[in-house]
Amino acid sequence: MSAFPDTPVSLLARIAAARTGASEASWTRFFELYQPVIVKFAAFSGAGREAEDVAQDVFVKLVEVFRRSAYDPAHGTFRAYLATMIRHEVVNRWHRAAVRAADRHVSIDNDEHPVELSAPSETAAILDARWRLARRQAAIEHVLTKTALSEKSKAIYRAYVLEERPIEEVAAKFGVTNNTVSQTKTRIARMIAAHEELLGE
Amino acid sequence: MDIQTNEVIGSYRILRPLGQGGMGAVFEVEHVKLGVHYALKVYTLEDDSAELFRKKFAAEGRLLARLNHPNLVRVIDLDIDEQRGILYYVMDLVLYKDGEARTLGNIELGGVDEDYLFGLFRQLSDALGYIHGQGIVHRDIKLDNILLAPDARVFLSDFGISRVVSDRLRGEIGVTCTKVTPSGSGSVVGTHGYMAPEVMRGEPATAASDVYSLGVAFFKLLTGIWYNEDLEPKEPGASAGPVDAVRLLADFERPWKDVLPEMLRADPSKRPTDLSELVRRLEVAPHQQKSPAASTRRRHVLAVVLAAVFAVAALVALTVYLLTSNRQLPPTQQQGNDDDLTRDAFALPESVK
Repeated sequence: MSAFPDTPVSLLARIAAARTGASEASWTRFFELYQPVIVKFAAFSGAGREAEDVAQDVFVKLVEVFRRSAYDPAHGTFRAYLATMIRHEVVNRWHRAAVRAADRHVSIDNDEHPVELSAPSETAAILDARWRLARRQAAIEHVLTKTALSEKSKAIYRAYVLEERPIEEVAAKFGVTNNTVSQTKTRIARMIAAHEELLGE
Repeated sequence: MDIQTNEVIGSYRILRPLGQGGMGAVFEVEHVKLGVHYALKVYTLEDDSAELFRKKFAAEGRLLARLNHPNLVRVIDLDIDEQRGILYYVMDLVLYKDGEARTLGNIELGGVDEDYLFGLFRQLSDALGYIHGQGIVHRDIKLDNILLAPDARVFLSDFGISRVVSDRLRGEIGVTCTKVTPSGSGSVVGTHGYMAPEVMRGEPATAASDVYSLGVAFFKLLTGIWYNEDLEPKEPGASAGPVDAVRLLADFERPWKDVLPEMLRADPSKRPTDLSELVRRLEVAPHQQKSPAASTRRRHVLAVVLAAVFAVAALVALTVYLLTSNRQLPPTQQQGNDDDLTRDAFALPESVK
Protein backbone atom coordinates (compact mmCIF):
# COMPACT_ATOMS: atom_id res chain seq x y z
CA MET A 1 0.00 0.00 0.00
CA SER A 2 1.03 3.59 -0.16
CA ALA A 3 4.02 4.81 1.74
CA PHE A 4 2.42 8.23 1.61
CA PRO A 5 0.66 9.75 4.52
CA ASP A 6 -2.96 9.69 5.44
CA THR A 7 -4.83 12.90 4.97
CA PRO A 8 -6.85 13.62 8.07
CA VAL A 9 -10.57 13.28 7.95
CA SER A 10 -10.80 16.97 8.79
CA LEU A 11 -9.60 17.81 5.30
CA LEU A 12 -12.27 15.61 3.81
CA ALA A 13 -14.84 17.20 6.06
CA ARG A 14 -13.87 20.66 4.97
CA ILE A 15 -13.95 19.71 1.33
CA ALA A 16 -17.30 18.03 1.70
CA ALA A 17 -18.57 21.13 3.45
CA ALA A 18 -17.46 23.16 0.47
CA ARG A 19 -20.09 21.35 -1.56
CA THR A 20 -22.54 23.63 0.19
CA GLY A 21 -20.35 26.68 -0.26
CA ALA A 22 -19.15 26.70 3.30
CA SER A 23 -15.47 26.24 2.68
CA GLU A 24 -14.42 27.82 -0.54
CA ALA A 25 -10.90 28.42 0.72
CA SER A 26 -10.31 24.71 1.19
CA TRP A 27 -11.42 23.97 -2.32
CA THR A 28 -9.23 26.67 -3.73
CA ARG A 29 -6.24 25.25 -1.96
CA PHE A 30 -7.10 21.75 -3.05
CA PHE A 31 -7.32 22.83 -6.67
CA GLU A 32 -4.09 24.78 -6.46
CA LEU A 33 -2.27 21.76 -5.14
CA TYR A 34 -3.66 19.13 -7.49
CA GLN A 35 -4.43 20.93 -10.71
CA PRO A 36 -0.89 20.91 -12.13
CA VAL A 37 -0.43 17.19 -11.66
CA ILE A 38 -3.88 16.35 -13.02
CA VAL A 39 -3.33 18.52 -16.09
CA LYS A 40 0.04 16.89 -16.75
CA PHE A 41 -1.32 13.42 -16.24
CA ALA A 42 -4.21 14.15 -18.59
CA ALA A 43 -1.78 15.48 -21.17
CA PHE A 44 0.38 12.37 -20.92
CA SER A 45 -2.77 10.27 -21.27
CA GLY A 46 -3.62 11.79 -24.60
CA ALA A 47 -5.85 14.72 -23.64
CA GLY A 48 -3.56 17.14 -25.44
CA ARG A 49 -4.85 20.68 -25.41
CA GLU A 50 -7.95 19.58 -23.56
CA ALA A 51 -5.92 18.65 -20.51
CA GLU A 52 -7.19 21.62 -18.49
CA ASP A 53 -10.79 20.79 -19.35
CA VAL A 54 -10.15 17.24 -18.23
CA ALA A 55 -8.80 18.56 -14.94
CA GLN A 56 -11.98 20.56 -14.41
CA ASP A 57 -14.10 17.49 -15.06
CA VAL A 58 -12.03 15.54 -12.61
CA PHE A 59 -12.59 18.17 -9.94
CA VAL A 60 -16.34 18.10 -10.53
CA LYS A 61 -16.21 14.37 -10.05
CA LEU A 62 -14.10 14.75 -6.94
CA VAL A 63 -16.59 17.12 -5.37
CA GLU A 64 -19.28 14.55 -5.92
CA VAL A 65 -17.17 11.82 -4.40
CA PHE A 66 -16.50 13.93 -1.36
CA ARG A 67 -20.14 14.89 -1.08
CA ARG A 68 -21.14 11.24 -0.98
CA SER A 69 -18.34 10.47 1.50
CA ALA A 70 -17.22 7.73 -0.87
CA TYR A 71 -13.78 7.51 0.64
CA ASP A 72 -13.40 4.77 3.23
CA PRO A 73 -10.21 5.06 5.33
CA ALA A 74 -10.25 1.29 5.76
CA HIS A 75 -9.33 0.94 2.10
CA GLY A 76 -6.06 2.81 2.33
CA THR A 77 -4.63 6.26 2.60
CA PHE A 78 -6.58 9.18 1.28
CA ARG A 79 -3.74 10.35 -0.92
CA ALA A 80 -3.41 6.95 -2.56
CA TYR A 81 -7.16 6.81 -3.02
CA LEU A 82 -7.20 10.28 -4.47
CA ALA A 83 -4.41 9.56 -6.90
CA THR A 84 -6.07 6.35 -8.06
CA MET A 85 -9.38 8.09 -8.54
CA ILE A 86 -7.80 10.88 -10.52
CA ARG A 87 -6.16 8.37 -12.82
CA HIS A 88 -9.37 6.47 -13.31
CA GLU A 89 -11.34 9.60 -13.92
CA VAL A 90 -8.88 10.93 -16.48
CA VAL A 91 -8.88 7.64 -18.35
CA ASN A 92 -12.67 7.28 -18.16
CA ARG A 93 -13.13 10.80 -19.36
CA TRP A 94 -10.78 10.11 -22.25
CA HIS A 95 -12.69 6.90 -22.92
CA ARG A 96 -16.04 8.71 -23.06
CA ALA A 97 -14.63 11.34 -25.37
CA ALA A 98 -13.25 8.65 -27.63
CA VAL A 99 -16.64 6.95 -27.76
CA ARG A 100 -18.36 10.23 -28.59
CA ALA A 101 -15.83 10.96 -31.30
CA ALA A 102 -16.22 7.48 -32.72
CA ASP A 103 -20.01 7.75 -32.67
CA ARG A 104 -19.81 10.68 -34.99
CA HIS A 105 -18.02 8.63 -37.58
CA VAL A 106 -19.03 5.02 -37.04
CA SER A 107 -22.53 3.71 -36.88
CA ILE A 108 -23.31 2.00 -33.64
CA ASP A 109 -24.73 -0.82 -35.75
CA ASN A 110 -21.45 -1.34 -37.53
CA ASP A 111 -19.96 -4.28 -35.70
CA GLU A 112 -17.28 -4.61 -38.28
CA HIS A 113 -15.62 -1.41 -37.10
CA PRO A 114 -15.51 -1.49 -33.30
CA VAL A 115 -14.22 1.59 -31.58
CA GLU A 116 -10.58 1.28 -30.59
CA LEU A 117 -10.13 2.26 -26.98
CA SER A 118 -6.48 2.12 -26.20
CA ALA A 119 -6.53 3.91 -22.87
CA PRO A 120 -8.61 1.44 -20.83
CA SER A 121 -6.64 -1.45 -22.18
CA GLU A 122 -3.36 0.01 -21.14
CA THR A 123 -1.68 -1.70 -18.30
CA ALA A 124 -1.74 -0.30 -14.82
CA ALA A 125 2.04 -0.07 -15.00
CA ILE A 126 1.90 2.43 -17.84
CA LEU A 127 -0.65 4.52 -16.01
CA ASP A 128 1.46 4.40 -12.89
CA ALA A 129 4.50 5.50 -14.83
CA ARG A 130 2.58 8.38 -16.36
CA TRP A 131 1.29 9.40 -12.97
CA ARG A 132 4.75 9.34 -11.42
CA LEU A 133 6.11 11.39 -14.29
CA ALA A 134 3.29 13.92 -14.01
CA ARG A 135 3.80 14.11 -10.27
CA ARG A 136 7.54 14.59 -10.61
CA GLN A 137 7.15 17.31 -13.24
CA ALA A 138 4.49 19.12 -11.25
CA ALA A 139 6.70 19.03 -8.17
CA ILE A 140 9.77 20.30 -10.01
CA GLU A 141 7.77 23.10 -11.57
CA HIS A 142 6.29 24.04 -8.23
CA VAL A 143 9.60 24.13 -6.38
CA LEU A 144 11.30 26.12 -9.13
CA THR A 145 8.52 28.69 -9.51
CA LYS A 146 6.52 28.91 -6.30
CA THR A 147 9.01 28.60 -3.49
CA ALA A 148 11.31 31.19 -2.00
CA LEU A 149 14.55 29.43 -2.79
CA SER A 150 17.02 31.92 -4.20
CA GLU A 151 17.06 32.45 -7.94
CA LYS A 152 20.69 31.43 -7.97
CA SER A 153 19.92 28.09 -6.34
CA LYS A 154 17.13 27.46 -8.80
CA ALA A 155 19.35 28.38 -11.75
CA ILE A 156 22.08 26.04 -10.52
CA TYR A 157 19.54 23.22 -10.26
CA ARG A 158 18.19 23.91 -13.74
CA ALA A 159 21.65 23.93 -15.29
CA TYR A 160 23.03 20.94 -13.44
CA VAL A 161 20.01 18.64 -13.23
CA LEU A 162 17.53 19.63 -15.91
CA GLU A 163 20.03 20.70 -18.56
CA GLU A 164 22.59 18.12 -17.42
CA ARG A 165 25.54 20.50 -17.69
CA PRO A 166 28.85 19.25 -16.23
CA ILE A 167 29.33 20.19 -12.61
CA GLU A 168 32.54 22.10 -13.32
CA GLU A 169 30.81 24.20 -15.95
CA VAL A 170 27.90 25.00 -13.64
CA ALA A 171 30.23 25.84 -10.78
CA ALA A 172 32.27 28.16 -12.98
CA LYS A 173 29.20 29.84 -14.44
CA PHE A 174 27.75 30.68 -11.04
CA GLY A 175 31.04 31.29 -9.26
CA VAL A 176 30.61 28.54 -6.70
CA THR A 177 32.43 25.34 -5.82
CA ASN A 178 31.53 21.93 -7.17
CA ASN A 179 30.49 21.07 -3.65
CA THR A 180 27.99 23.93 -3.60
CA VAL A 181 26.48 22.75 -6.87
CA SER A 182 26.13 19.29 -5.43
CA GLN A 183 24.63 20.55 -2.17
CA THR A 184 22.16 22.75 -4.05
CA LYS A 185 21.03 19.78 -6.09
CA THR A 186 20.51 17.74 -2.94
CA ARG A 187 18.58 20.49 -1.17
CA ILE A 188 16.21 21.09 -4.06
CA ALA A 189 15.78 17.38 -4.70
CA ARG A 190 14.62 16.99 -1.09
CA MET A 191 12.07 19.77 -1.54
CA ILE A 192 10.81 18.19 -4.74
CA ALA A 193 10.46 14.83 -3.01
CA ALA A 194 8.52 16.43 -0.16
CA HIS A 195 6.17 18.11 -2.62
CA GLU A 196 5.70 14.85 -4.53
CA GLU A 197 4.69 13.24 -1.28
CA LEU A 198 1.94 15.81 -0.89
CA LEU A 199 0.50 14.76 -4.23
CA GLY A 200 0.09 11.15 -3.25
CA GLU A 201 1.12 7.82 -4.70
CA MET B 1 -23.63 51.37 -1.89
CA ASP B 2 -23.27 53.25 -5.13
CA ILE B 3 -20.35 55.65 -5.10
CA GLN B 4 -19.27 57.22 -8.35
CA THR B 5 -16.02 58.74 -9.55
CA ASN B 6 -15.79 62.51 -8.86
CA GLU B 7 -18.39 62.25 -6.15
CA VAL B 8 -17.37 64.20 -3.06
CA ILE B 9 -17.67 62.62 0.35
CA GLY B 10 -16.85 65.00 3.15
CA SER B 11 -13.69 66.74 1.99
CA TYR B 12 -12.65 63.98 -0.36
CA ARG B 13 -13.28 63.53 -4.07
CA ILE B 14 -13.53 59.93 -5.25
CA LEU B 15 -10.91 59.20 -7.91
CA ARG B 16 -11.15 55.45 -8.45
CA PRO B 17 -11.99 52.21 -6.68
CA LEU B 18 -9.01 50.38 -5.16
CA GLY B 19 -10.62 47.26 -3.86
CA GLN B 20 -13.38 45.57 -1.97
CA GLY B 21 -12.55 44.39 1.51
CA GLY B 22 -14.47 42.03 3.69
CA MET B 23 -16.20 44.89 5.42
CA GLY B 24 -16.25 47.71 2.93
CA ALA B 25 -15.06 49.21 -0.33
CA VAL B 26 -11.85 51.21 -0.64
CA PHE B 27 -11.29 54.17 -3.00
CA GLU B 28 -8.44 56.45 -3.91
CA VAL B 29 -9.55 59.98 -3.06
CA GLU B 30 -8.19 63.50 -3.23
CA HIS B 31 -8.62 66.07 -0.51
CA VAL B 32 -10.55 68.80 -2.31
CA LYS B 33 -8.60 71.67 -0.71
CA LEU B 34 -5.19 70.17 -0.09
CA GLY B 35 -4.97 68.07 -3.25
CA VAL B 36 -3.41 65.23 -1.29
CA HIS B 37 -4.37 61.68 -2.23
CA TYR B 38 -5.56 59.19 0.35
CA ALA B 39 -7.38 55.88 0.58
CA LEU B 40 -10.98 56.07 1.80
CA LYS B 41 -12.74 53.05 3.19
CA VAL B 42 -16.53 53.05 3.17
CA TYR B 43 -19.05 51.02 5.10
CA THR B 44 -22.74 50.99 4.33
CA LEU B 45 -25.37 51.60 6.97
CA GLU B 46 -28.19 49.66 5.49
CA ASP B 47 -28.76 46.64 7.63
CA ASP B 48 -30.41 46.06 10.96
CA SER B 49 -27.15 46.15 12.81
CA ALA B 50 -26.37 49.68 11.65
CA GLU B 51 -26.12 51.06 15.15
CA LEU B 52 -23.78 48.32 16.30
CA PHE B 53 -21.82 48.68 13.12
CA ARG B 54 -21.63 52.43 13.66
CA LYS B 55 -20.15 51.87 17.10
CA LYS B 56 -17.78 49.28 15.74
CA PHE B 57 -16.70 51.61 12.97
CA ALA B 58 -16.05 54.44 15.37
CA ALA B 59 -14.11 52.09 17.61
CA GLU B 60 -12.02 50.90 14.72
CA GLY B 61 -11.25 54.43 13.62
CA ARG B 62 -10.29 55.55 17.09
CA LEU B 63 -8.24 52.44 17.54
CA LEU B 64 -6.37 53.00 14.30
CA ALA B 65 -5.88 56.70 14.90
CA ARG B 66 -3.91 56.06 18.05
CA LEU B 67 -1.49 53.69 16.37
CA ASN B 68 1.77 55.01 15.01
CA HIS B 69 4.17 52.60 13.38
CA PRO B 70 6.07 52.68 10.07
CA ASN B 71 4.44 49.43 8.95
CA LEU B 72 0.86 50.24 9.88
CA VAL B 73 -1.51 52.20 7.69
CA ARG B 74 -2.10 55.59 9.37
CA VAL B 75 -5.66 56.84 9.81
CA ILE B 76 -6.19 60.48 8.83
CA ASP B 77 -9.89 61.10 9.22
CA LEU B 78 -13.15 59.47 10.17
CA ASP B 79 -16.77 60.50 9.67
CA ILE B 80 -20.34 59.49 9.00
CA ASP B 81 -22.39 60.66 6.03
CA GLU B 82 -25.97 60.24 7.25
CA GLN B 83 -27.43 61.38 3.96
CA ARG B 84 -25.71 58.65 2.01
CA GLY B 85 -26.01 56.20 4.86
CA ILE B 86 -22.31 55.51 4.94
CA LEU B 87 -19.43 55.50 7.35
CA TYR B 88 -15.95 56.18 6.09
CA TYR B 89 -12.43 56.66 7.25
CA VAL B 90 -9.46 58.05 5.43
CA MET B 91 -6.03 56.48 5.47
CA ASP B 92 -2.62 56.97 3.95
CA LEU B 93 -2.56 55.77 0.38
CA VAL B 94 -0.19 52.86 -0.17
CA LEU B 95 0.39 52.07 -3.82
CA TYR B 96 2.79 49.57 -5.34
CA LYS B 97 5.24 50.52 -8.08
CA ASP B 98 2.62 49.84 -10.75
CA GLY B 99 0.42 52.52 -9.21
CA GLU B 100 -2.13 50.01 -7.91
CA ALA B 101 -3.03 48.94 -4.38
CA ARG B 102 -1.30 45.57 -4.19
CA THR B 103 -1.28 43.11 -1.37
CA LEU B 104 0.85 40.05 -0.84
CA GLY B 105 -2.29 38.10 -1.65
CA ASN B 106 -2.94 39.56 -5.06
CA ILE B 107 0.53 39.86 -6.49
CA GLU B 108 2.53 37.13 -8.16
CA LEU B 109 5.53 36.63 -5.94
CA GLY B 110 7.10 33.73 -7.77
CA GLY B 111 10.82 34.26 -7.83
CA VAL B 112 11.19 36.27 -4.64
CA ASP B 113 13.73 34.71 -2.38
CA GLU B 114 13.87 34.15 1.31
CA ASP B 115 16.02 37.18 2.00
CA TYR B 116 13.26 39.39 0.62
CA LEU B 117 10.70 37.45 2.63
CA PHE B 118 12.82 37.81 5.72
CA GLY B 119 12.68 41.59 5.20
CA LEU B 120 8.89 41.37 5.11
CA PHE B 121 8.84 39.12 8.15
CA ARG B 122 10.95 41.58 10.10
CA GLN B 123 8.63 44.50 9.28
CA LEU B 124 5.44 42.59 10.00
CA SER B 125 6.77 41.11 13.20
CA ASP B 126 7.70 44.58 14.34
CA ALA B 127 4.26 45.94 13.47
CA LEU B 128 2.49 43.04 15.11
CA GLY B 129 4.65 43.27 18.19
CA TYR B 130 3.76 46.96 18.38
CA ILE B 131 0.00 46.47 18.22
CA HIS B 132 0.15 43.59 20.67
CA GLY B 133 2.05 45.89 22.98
CA GLN B 134 -0.87 48.33 22.65
CA GLY B 135 -3.25 45.63 23.80
CA ILE B 136 -4.70 44.99 20.36
CA VAL B 137 -5.16 41.72 18.52
CA HIS B 138 -5.47 42.11 14.76
CA ARG B 139 -7.47 38.88 14.26
CA ASP B 140 -7.26 38.92 10.48
CA ILE B 141 -3.61 38.60 9.55
CA LYS B 142 -3.48 37.34 5.99
CA LEU B 143 -1.70 38.02 2.75
CA ASP B 144 -4.63 40.09 1.48
CA ASN B 145 -4.21 42.48 4.39
CA ILE B 146 -0.56 43.23 3.78
CA LEU B 147 -0.06 46.16 1.42
CA LEU B 148 3.09 46.49 -0.66
CA ALA B 149 4.92 49.77 -1.20
CA PRO B 150 7.49 50.30 -3.98
CA ASP B 151 10.45 50.49 -1.60
CA ALA B 152 10.03 46.91 -0.30
CA ARG B 153 8.10 48.23 2.68
CA VAL B 154 4.91 46.51 3.71
CA PHE B 155 1.94 47.84 5.63
CA LEU B 156 -0.40 45.87 7.78
CA SER B 157 -3.93 47.02 7.08
CA ASP B 158 -7.56 46.29 7.71
CA PHE B 159 -8.11 46.35 11.40
CA GLY B 160 -11.78 45.93 10.67
CA ILE B 161 -12.09 43.03 13.02
CA SER B 162 -9.39 43.93 15.46
CA ARG B 163 -10.11 43.24 19.04
CA VAL B 164 -8.96 45.34 21.88
CA VAL B 165 -7.81 43.03 24.60
CA SER B 166 -6.53 45.60 27.04
CA ASP B 167 -9.12 46.60 29.63
CA ARG B 168 -7.73 50.09 29.77
CA LEU B 169 -8.09 50.58 26.03
CA ARG B 170 -11.47 48.93 26.00
CA GLY B 171 -12.71 51.53 28.40
CA GLU B 172 -11.27 54.39 26.41
CA ILE B 173 -12.65 53.24 23.11
CA GLY B 174 -16.00 52.35 24.50
CA VAL B 175 -16.76 49.17 22.61
CA THR B 176 -14.93 46.08 21.59
CA CYS B 177 -15.27 44.40 18.26
CA THR B 178 -15.41 40.94 19.69
CA LYS B 179 -18.87 40.00 18.61
CA VAL B 180 -19.10 42.08 15.51
CA THR B 181 -18.52 40.26 12.26
CA PRO B 182 -19.20 41.33 8.71
CA SER B 183 -22.49 39.53 8.99
CA GLY B 184 -23.04 40.78 12.50
CA SER B 185 -23.84 37.29 13.57
CA GLY B 186 -21.07 35.31 15.19
CA SER B 187 -18.02 35.47 17.34
CA VAL B 188 -15.75 33.39 15.11
CA VAL B 189 -13.93 36.06 13.18
CA GLY B 190 -11.07 35.76 10.76
CA THR B 191 -10.26 34.13 7.46
CA HIS B 192 -10.56 30.42 6.93
CA GLY B 193 -7.18 28.78 6.65
CA TYR B 194 -5.39 31.53 8.54
CA MET B 195 -7.40 31.14 11.71
CA ALA B 196 -5.65 29.48 14.62
CA PRO B 197 -7.23 26.23 15.84
CA GLU B 198 -8.51 27.86 19.02
CA VAL B 199 -10.26 30.60 17.01
CA MET B 200 -11.82 27.96 14.77
CA ARG B 201 -13.20 26.38 17.93
CA GLY B 202 -14.79 29.69 18.85
CA GLU B 203 -12.37 30.67 21.57
CA PRO B 204 -11.26 34.31 21.85
CA ALA B 205 -8.40 35.35 19.63
CA THR B 206 -5.22 36.38 21.37
CA ALA B 207 -1.82 37.67 20.32
CA ALA B 208 -0.83 34.02 19.89
CA SER B 209 -3.62 33.65 17.31
CA ASP B 210 -2.06 36.45 15.26
CA VAL B 211 1.30 34.71 15.52
CA TYR B 212 -0.30 31.56 14.11
CA SER B 213 -1.83 33.48 11.20
CA LEU B 214 1.48 35.14 10.41
CA GLY B 215 3.04 31.68 10.40
CA VAL B 216 0.43 30.47 7.91
CA ALA B 217 1.12 33.44 5.64
CA PHE B 218 4.87 32.85 5.61
CA PHE B 219 4.50 29.11 5.18
CA LYS B 220 2.63 29.87 1.97
CA LEU B 221 5.14 32.49 0.84
CA LEU B 222 8.08 30.15 1.39
CA THR B 223 6.75 26.82 0.19
CA GLY B 224 4.06 27.89 -2.26
CA ILE B 225 1.48 25.68 -0.58
CA TRP B 226 -1.09 26.29 2.10
CA TYR B 227 -0.50 25.09 5.59
CA ASN B 228 -3.20 23.00 7.15
CA GLU B 229 -3.46 20.56 9.94
CA ASP B 230 -2.41 17.55 7.95
CA LEU B 231 0.95 19.24 7.71
CA GLU B 232 1.08 20.14 11.33
CA PRO B 233 4.40 19.37 12.94
CA LYS B 234 4.32 17.12 15.96
CA GLU B 235 5.77 17.99 19.26
CA PRO B 236 9.33 16.74 19.73
CA GLY B 237 9.32 13.08 20.63
CA ALA B 238 5.89 12.44 19.22
CA SER B 239 5.46 10.11 16.30
CA ALA B 240 6.01 11.59 12.88
CA GLY B 241 3.10 13.50 11.42
CA PRO B 242 1.48 12.83 8.06
CA VAL B 243 3.69 15.21 6.14
CA ASP B 244 6.11 17.00 8.35
CA ALA B 245 6.04 20.72 7.64
CA VAL B 246 9.67 20.85 8.63
CA ARG B 247 10.49 18.78 5.57
CA LEU B 248 9.09 21.48 3.35
CA LEU B 249 11.06 24.15 5.17
CA ALA B 250 14.25 22.26 5.85
CA ASP B 251 16.21 23.34 2.84
CA PHE B 252 16.01 27.08 3.09
CA GLU B 253 19.12 28.88 4.22
CA ARG B 254 17.53 30.69 7.15
CA PRO B 255 16.17 28.57 10.00
CA TRP B 256 12.51 28.85 9.02
CA LYS B 257 12.21 25.14 9.80
CA ASP B 258 12.73 25.97 13.47
CA VAL B 259 10.73 29.18 13.67
CA LEU B 260 7.57 28.51 11.66
CA PRO B 261 6.61 25.20 13.29
CA GLU B 262 6.76 26.98 16.65
CA MET B 263 4.44 29.72 15.36
CA LEU B 264 2.08 27.06 14.01
CA ARG B 265 1.74 25.02 17.16
CA ALA B 266 -1.82 23.96 17.84
CA ASP B 267 -1.58 24.92 21.50
CA PRO B 268 -1.52 28.73 21.72
CA SER B 269 0.28 28.63 25.05
CA LYS B 270 3.22 26.96 23.33
CA ARG B 271 3.56 29.53 20.56
CA PRO B 272 6.24 32.17 20.89
CA THR B 273 4.92 35.64 21.60
CA ASP B 274 8.17 37.59 21.38
CA LEU B 275 8.34 38.14 17.64
CA SER B 276 11.56 40.12 17.87
CA GLU B 277 13.23 36.99 19.19
CA LEU B 278 12.04 35.08 16.12
CA VAL B 279 13.49 37.79 13.91
CA ARG B 280 16.83 37.50 15.69
CA ARG B 281 16.85 33.76 15.11
CA LEU B 282 16.14 34.21 11.42
CA GLU B 283 18.59 37.06 11.11
CA VAL B 284 21.61 34.87 10.44
CA ALA B 285 22.43 35.81 6.88
CA PRO B 286 22.93 32.83 4.59
CA HIS B 287 26.52 33.79 3.82
CA GLN B 288 27.24 33.80 7.54
CA GLN B 289 26.03 30.29 7.98
CA LYS B 290 28.66 27.64 8.16
CA SER B 291 28.96 25.07 5.45
CA PRO B 292 30.28 21.68 6.58
CA ALA B 293 33.54 22.25 4.69
CA ALA B 294 33.99 25.67 6.20
CA SER B 295 33.26 24.27 9.63
CA THR B 296 35.93 21.63 9.16
CA ARG B 297 38.46 24.23 8.10
CA ARG B 298 37.51 26.37 11.07
CA ARG B 299 37.96 23.43 13.40
CA HIS B 300 41.45 22.83 12.04
CA VAL B 301 42.43 26.45 12.49
CA LEU B 302 41.02 26.40 15.99
CA ALA B 303 43.00 23.29 16.83
CA VAL B 304 46.25 24.90 15.61
CA VAL B 305 45.57 28.09 17.54
CA LEU B 306 44.72 26.16 20.68
CA ALA B 307 47.86 24.08 20.32
CA ALA B 308 49.96 27.23 19.94
CA VAL B 309 48.32 28.86 22.93
CA PHE B 310 48.84 25.72 24.95
CA ALA B 311 52.49 25.56 23.95
CA VAL B 312 53.12 29.18 24.90
CA ALA B 313 51.24 28.72 28.17
CA ALA B 314 53.26 25.62 28.93
CA LEU B 315 56.46 27.47 28.15
CA VAL B 316 55.53 30.38 30.38
CA ALA B 317 54.50 28.02 33.16
CA LEU B 318 57.71 26.12 32.83
CA THR B 319 59.76 29.30 32.90
CA VAL B 320 57.95 30.60 35.93
CA TYR B 321 58.31 27.28 37.62
CA LEU B 322 61.98 27.10 36.92
CA LEU B 323 62.61 30.68 37.96
CA THR B 324 60.71 30.08 41.16
CA SER B 325 62.58 26.84 41.73
CA ASN B 326 65.87 28.61 41.17
CA ARG B 327 65.19 30.92 44.09
CA GLN B 328 65.01 27.89 46.29
CA LEU B 329 68.20 26.41 45.04
CA PRO B 330 71.55 26.90 46.73
CA PRO B 331 73.40 29.97 45.35
CA THR B 332 76.09 27.93 43.65
CA GLN B 333 73.60 25.86 41.63
CA GLN B 334 71.21 28.72 41.05
CA GLN B 335 73.61 30.84 39.08
CA GLY B 336 74.79 28.14 36.81
CA ASN B 337 71.36 26.69 36.15
CA ASP B 338 69.81 30.11 35.54
CA ASP B 339 72.23 30.89 32.80
CA ASP B 340 71.85 27.52 31.20
CA LEU B 341 68.12 27.35 31.43
CA THR B 342 67.57 30.89 30.25
CA ARG B 343 69.80 30.37 27.35
CA ASP B 344 68.22 27.06 26.49
CA ALA B 345 64.70 28.27 26.95
CA PHE B 346 65.00 31.28 24.66
CA ALA B 347 67.67 29.96 22.41
CA LEU B 348 66.90 30.06 18.76
CA PRO B 349 67.69 27.04 16.67
CA GLU B 350 70.92 27.32 14.77
CA SER B 351 69.09 27.31 11.51
CA VAL B 352 67.42 30.67 12.09
CA LYS B 353 70.19 32.55 13.77
